[in-house]
Amino acid sequence: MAVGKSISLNESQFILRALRESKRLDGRSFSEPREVDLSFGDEFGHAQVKLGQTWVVAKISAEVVKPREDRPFEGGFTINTDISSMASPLFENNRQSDDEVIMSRMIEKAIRRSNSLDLESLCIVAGKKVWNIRADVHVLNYDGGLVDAICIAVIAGLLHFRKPDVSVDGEEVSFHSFEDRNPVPLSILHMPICSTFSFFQVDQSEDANDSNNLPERLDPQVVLVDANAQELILSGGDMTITVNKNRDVCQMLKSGGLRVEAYTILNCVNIAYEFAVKTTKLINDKLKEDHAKRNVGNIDQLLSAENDR
Amino acid sequence: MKFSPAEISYLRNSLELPSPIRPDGRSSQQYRPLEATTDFLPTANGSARVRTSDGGECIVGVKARVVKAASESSLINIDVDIAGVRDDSSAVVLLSSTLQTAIQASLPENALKLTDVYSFKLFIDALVISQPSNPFNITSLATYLALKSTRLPKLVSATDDAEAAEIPVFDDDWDQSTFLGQDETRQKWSPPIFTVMAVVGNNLFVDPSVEEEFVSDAGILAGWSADGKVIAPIRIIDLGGKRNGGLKSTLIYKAYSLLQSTAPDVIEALNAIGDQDSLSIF
Amino acid sequence: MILDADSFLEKCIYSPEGLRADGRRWNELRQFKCQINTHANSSDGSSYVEQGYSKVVCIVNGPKEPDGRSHTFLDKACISVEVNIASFSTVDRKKVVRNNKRVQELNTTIQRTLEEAVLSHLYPRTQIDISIQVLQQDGGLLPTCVNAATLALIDAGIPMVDYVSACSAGIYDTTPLLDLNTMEENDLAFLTVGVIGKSDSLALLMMETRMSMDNLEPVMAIAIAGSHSIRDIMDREVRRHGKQRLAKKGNM
Repeated sequence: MAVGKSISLNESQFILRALRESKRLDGRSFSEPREVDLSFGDEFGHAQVKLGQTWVVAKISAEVVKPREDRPFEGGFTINTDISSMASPLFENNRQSDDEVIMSRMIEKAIRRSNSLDLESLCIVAGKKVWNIRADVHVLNYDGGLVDAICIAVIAGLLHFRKPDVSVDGEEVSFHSFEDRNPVPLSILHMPICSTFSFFQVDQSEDANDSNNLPERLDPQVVLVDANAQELILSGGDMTITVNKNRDVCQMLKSGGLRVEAYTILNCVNIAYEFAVKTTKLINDKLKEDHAKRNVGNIDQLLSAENDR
Repeated sequence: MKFSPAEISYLRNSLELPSPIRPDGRSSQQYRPLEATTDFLPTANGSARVRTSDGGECIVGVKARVVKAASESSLINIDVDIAGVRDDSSAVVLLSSTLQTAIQASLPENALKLTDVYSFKLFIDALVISQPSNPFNITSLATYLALKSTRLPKLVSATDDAEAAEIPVFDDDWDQSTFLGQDETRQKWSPPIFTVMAVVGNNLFVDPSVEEEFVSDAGILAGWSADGKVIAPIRIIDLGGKRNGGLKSTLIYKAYSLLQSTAPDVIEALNAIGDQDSLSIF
Repeated sequence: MILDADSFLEKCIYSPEGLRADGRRWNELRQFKCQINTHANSSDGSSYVEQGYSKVVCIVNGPKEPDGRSHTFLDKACISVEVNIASFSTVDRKKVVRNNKRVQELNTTIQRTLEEAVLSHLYPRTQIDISIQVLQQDGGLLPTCVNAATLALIDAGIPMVDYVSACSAGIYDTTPLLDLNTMEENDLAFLTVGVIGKSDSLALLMMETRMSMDNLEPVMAIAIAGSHSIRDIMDREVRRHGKQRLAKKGNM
């Protein structure tokens, strides 16, 4: 069932009570993200990510444009996120809520501002022609962890994407079709991976007598990794951390919400790092798998100029 | 603001009298006390802040940029931003367009000229932070002060670049800069000021307060240049009071004479403020 | 040539003698000047904050009747924040559109940070308007706005858990630097933290540039320490203002 803006009192008490007993409804541990299900479409640059019930599709496309005047050597890169009410009744069509603005800014910062795509490699003729890479993201279903899923989809899409090869002869630019020459991949400098953490205050028990029966008192603050939509409604605040496998934190945002000790945040960064390493490996494995599938006729070797010598 | 019928009738009657009584006891050509500071923003060429006793406040920053004169349609750009009011609302458009035309028209041709090719362009940005009564008065006064405090760096490269193109170079020493309109080599210039007057019956009131605006028939907006001339545009504006369609022509004449008796004093007072030096607003 | 200029700049940010371009040490704040009740006639609460060359005016109106249904909450006050960046606030004039995404993000971030500190459940079905005017920017836009908003809320007499104070810090090589100006923000990785009271727990954390995980801890520590110092300065100003008001009352 779709999760709307609020959930019933019964459900909310049930979830919070379970959290107090260190349990999550889907049986995960507190610091365990959901499995990432990544697949690629037939076309280059088409990536699909499923994170639990969250379902996101990213499509990368490229066109040739004139560069910005102040940046003649750099190509363009835009990320377009389309979050409509198809994903969840939480989102309105044609209107961006505060959350959506923050979300799209976060994706922008995680991928674009962290320079994961080398913009200078997109230059064809300085000041005249550059590639403009466009990532269109569609959210098909929402169940929490949206930024995380979108980020993986865009990065995987960028890695999967191939642009036509170009040869420049003076002012003449010619584009080679995919049959003519092997298309070229984009130059991706690093792979930022987002993790979202949610904070809960669970010691405000609704009935004091009950709390005495609990086997042991927990830390009053609970940190959940990759909360689903139900948990997100109940959370007292969340934080998104973007890390790559080179141990660089690309972006962090915790705007308001429950106060969190600095050491808890440092712990979260470590969890985010583990997730990033795991996810990076997953993306690379899936890419290899896809590549092998496409290369049944072993065209790669045929076209390659390398030899055994 | 809402007023009771009793209040409205009291205000209206006392303001309509042959010798009117204003609610705050001012004479009809008297401004409310105001507080002004100039030149407090180091990143701007000129800046000013004006506050009135009822809490109205306007901050103006003037920035100059070197442009190629031929490619610019105007060397003055005025942008007004009223907190809580949309940028395309009529009040904002009226304010910026009136100031823009008047300042542009009064500016001598060579006041901003650097070389044959290059010229300064002034960006005047007014920020009305709070505006209990009509923001025109404070914005106009703050703009006047900001322009008066505007300093332009001294040009050290050649002024004649008709043949050899040369990018203007300026003296780094800020003490060498000259005040806008005060340079000996250029024509002297003082920006115009605008005054809003409220019309109640046969009487006119300079710098109306919220109460006076509320019972007014209409408002008259008129400009005054520093060399003692009434300047265009003159407009009848809506101050939020009741509208009764048109004004007696004698009132327009009265407005001129009122302006003539107050404007020189206002300009004198503003110039006195400009002479004080300050670096922080508070 | 270009290389030379670059290395020159590099040196300027943090010299081997341990001085920054503006003469500060690594753990020094810029001059922090603040004042409350600056707009007594036009608002319920107001403040003016200067952090170095960053200058911000904040005006609070409310709790008051909400603007509409979307601003009405049955269990708490609706806090709305509007940051307005003056076109003349930067070295090169830049017109900032009001509903630009960056400004919207700034609004939401400040609003959510303050919601955590304000006891908003005491004012159900009301609205608290916070309007922030940025007159001059020289780095630390977000922290300056947060600090100014806190002071204005206190001036308005709105109950809060404690002061919210925010500060930025960056990293140069392995040295953390406190309270960056624009030049340093452009060249270094930095983050902004906001704390409530004198605790180590963060209500606000924002990082937009790439920073190594291993540097996070020292940078965060120094930013928190900076926030605590700012809280003390703000507290001193509030007390000074309170005393001044009391003295005036005594004379009456």
